[in-house]
Amino acid sequence: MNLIAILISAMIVNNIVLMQFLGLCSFFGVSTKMKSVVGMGAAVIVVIFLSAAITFPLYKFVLIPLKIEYIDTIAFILVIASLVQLTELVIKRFSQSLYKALGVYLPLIATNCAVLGVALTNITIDQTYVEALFNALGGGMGYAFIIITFTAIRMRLDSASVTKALKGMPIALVTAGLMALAFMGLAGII
Amino acid sequence: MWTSYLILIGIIVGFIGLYMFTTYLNKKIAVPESCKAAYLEAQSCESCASRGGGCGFSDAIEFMKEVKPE
Repeated sequence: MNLIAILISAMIVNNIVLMQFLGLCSFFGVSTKMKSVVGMGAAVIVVIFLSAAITFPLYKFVLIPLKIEYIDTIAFILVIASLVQLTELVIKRFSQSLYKALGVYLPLIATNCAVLGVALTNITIDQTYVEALFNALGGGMGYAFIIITFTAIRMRLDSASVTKALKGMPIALVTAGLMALAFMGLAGII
Repeated sequence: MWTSYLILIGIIVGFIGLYMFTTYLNKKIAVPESCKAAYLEAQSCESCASRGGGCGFSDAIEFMKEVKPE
């Protein structure tokens, strides 16, 4: 499969939020203000890409040769958490403007299962390092795309006349369900 | 056989050590004054906070106490 197909597949067809149901906590929790979700989406793209860049070779060149690949989940959790701390530290220290835009969302991403999900999916598929990086990039971009779209719909719903019982989170869940159904129509095209 | 266990324990301890070290370094550098408002705003994730608590362990315990049946 070529790299563009991998990118589109990870971003839209196998979207991590709507098709794999990963990262739903931050998806519902942060999607209230457009400014926040743009920063959050960008931060998720960076973290997913960096974590895939580290976890894929870690699995292939350390865990498999030492025959301890069964600790992949715990190893990835610790590596991703360390990576998020390190990224936050570097951004905080060297660029305040970048920290304001991206860094403030990093503590929320440390516990985001979407990051771990992409890292674990990458090792189960038979692919090269570059393909794994494109898969991670597509996954992050898919998260950002969906959370921005969802926030736009939620902002529109705030001014719509919704039944009292459905106001707030219930209508958000219904909306997310309808979006997931729409995305299911794309299954199998790549 | 023991060597494989030692390697396993060494690697896990190494990862935990790496995490603790990066967390320690990160905590040593305070959030810049100009970013404090943005930082606090970003942490107001509504998934847990909407019911009046936070995402911390102590908040979760408090919530569990609240919903505990009589």
